[in-house]
Amino acid sequence: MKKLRSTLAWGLIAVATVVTTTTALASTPQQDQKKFQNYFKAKFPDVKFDNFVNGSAAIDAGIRAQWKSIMEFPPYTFALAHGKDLFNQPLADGQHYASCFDHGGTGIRQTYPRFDTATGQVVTLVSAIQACRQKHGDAPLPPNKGDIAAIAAYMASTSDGKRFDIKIPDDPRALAAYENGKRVFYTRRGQLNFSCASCHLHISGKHLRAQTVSPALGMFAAFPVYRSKWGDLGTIDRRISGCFLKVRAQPLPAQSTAYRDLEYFITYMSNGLPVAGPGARP
Amino acid sequence: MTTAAGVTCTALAFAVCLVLAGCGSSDNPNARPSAPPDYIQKQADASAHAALPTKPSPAAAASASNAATAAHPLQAAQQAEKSALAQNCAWSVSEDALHKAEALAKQGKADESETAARRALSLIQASLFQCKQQKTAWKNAVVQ
Repeated sequence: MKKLRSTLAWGLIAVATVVTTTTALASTPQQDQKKFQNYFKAKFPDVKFDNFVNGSAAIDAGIRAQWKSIMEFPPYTFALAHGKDLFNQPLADGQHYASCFDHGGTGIRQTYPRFDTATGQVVTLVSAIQACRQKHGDAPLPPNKGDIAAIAAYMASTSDGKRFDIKIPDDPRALAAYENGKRVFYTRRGQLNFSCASCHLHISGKHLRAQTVSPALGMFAAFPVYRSKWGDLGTIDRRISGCFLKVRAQPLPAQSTAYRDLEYFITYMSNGLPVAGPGARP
Repeated sequence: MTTAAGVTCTALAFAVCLVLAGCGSSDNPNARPSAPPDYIQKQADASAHAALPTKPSPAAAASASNAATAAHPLQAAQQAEKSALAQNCAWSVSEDALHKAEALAKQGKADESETAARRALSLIQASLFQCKQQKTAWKNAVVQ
């Protein structure tokens, strides 16, 4: 009898473990998004949902004061004007950037990254700009900063306040790209053995030396951003590569599959938040 | 290793001496040296493959022997790093260490290159271990 009870107990534990594991692995993107957003809402109950687009300024009063001071005269103003000029200049074959995008490229930031079922790849705003240039006979711009960041900043500014609405189409490749982005987000890397989640999820709001770690929710909503540390505008790729180097991991090429999928995952997690780009960060 | 290097050096020096002796014994200064006997040529070829000397002096042969020793950990590190890069899990510090070892090898500093390559290899092996471990471990960190 005792042996039977013991066997039953172990059986129940095994079944519970299998069920828990299966549930964890089989969660849909919608379920992931709900858990992700609820995690941050519970962790920072005093922060209004929309304010998560402001990064660490949303959760730290000192940084918020600095940020408000910076935003009195936004440091990206000239880059934004330059981006507008570039956007309106004709490409090599006389066509404009507007010809490559829905609604002439205005007010579309909230729909990027998107999954392109024709190529089976995630397309970010930056990769769409580069593809547009190539389609019309121009070479891609140097990545991470400069003109590419300026054009992306201008396009983001035309979507100010529109809410992110990233879609995962009913295509196994789209789900695979989402899952890959999720894996990249949670995978520890580098000699310091940190993942994106180590900082921007588990210890978000706490301090790493003198820095308050920003939450992952809404993290890319204000990109491209002007960072005082950089002294100019930078793209999401530039920021991710900076994080990789900080944990002593070898950065990947700009717009590599891993970076695009990561952007897809994090932006999907931030659905419902408003576009706030370009932004400024200390 | 020292014995092998010594044998290599001696065999090579012996072969070269025979060639030079043949050349010197000729009365005609423009005469081409006669080919050494087959068994000596085979020994010389084997020595050349083993130690890759460019000049058959004892010092050069010793240096080449060191280079041959260093080639192994450097090549192992290069191969391991290729694997780490292919899996997107290379470390910046291991890349730096590997580049340092490669630069030292180019400068002909065989011993220092070997030490640097061994350090790079240990870093790369750690990155590959992390990579393997994280293939499933990342799932434990997912928000539930």
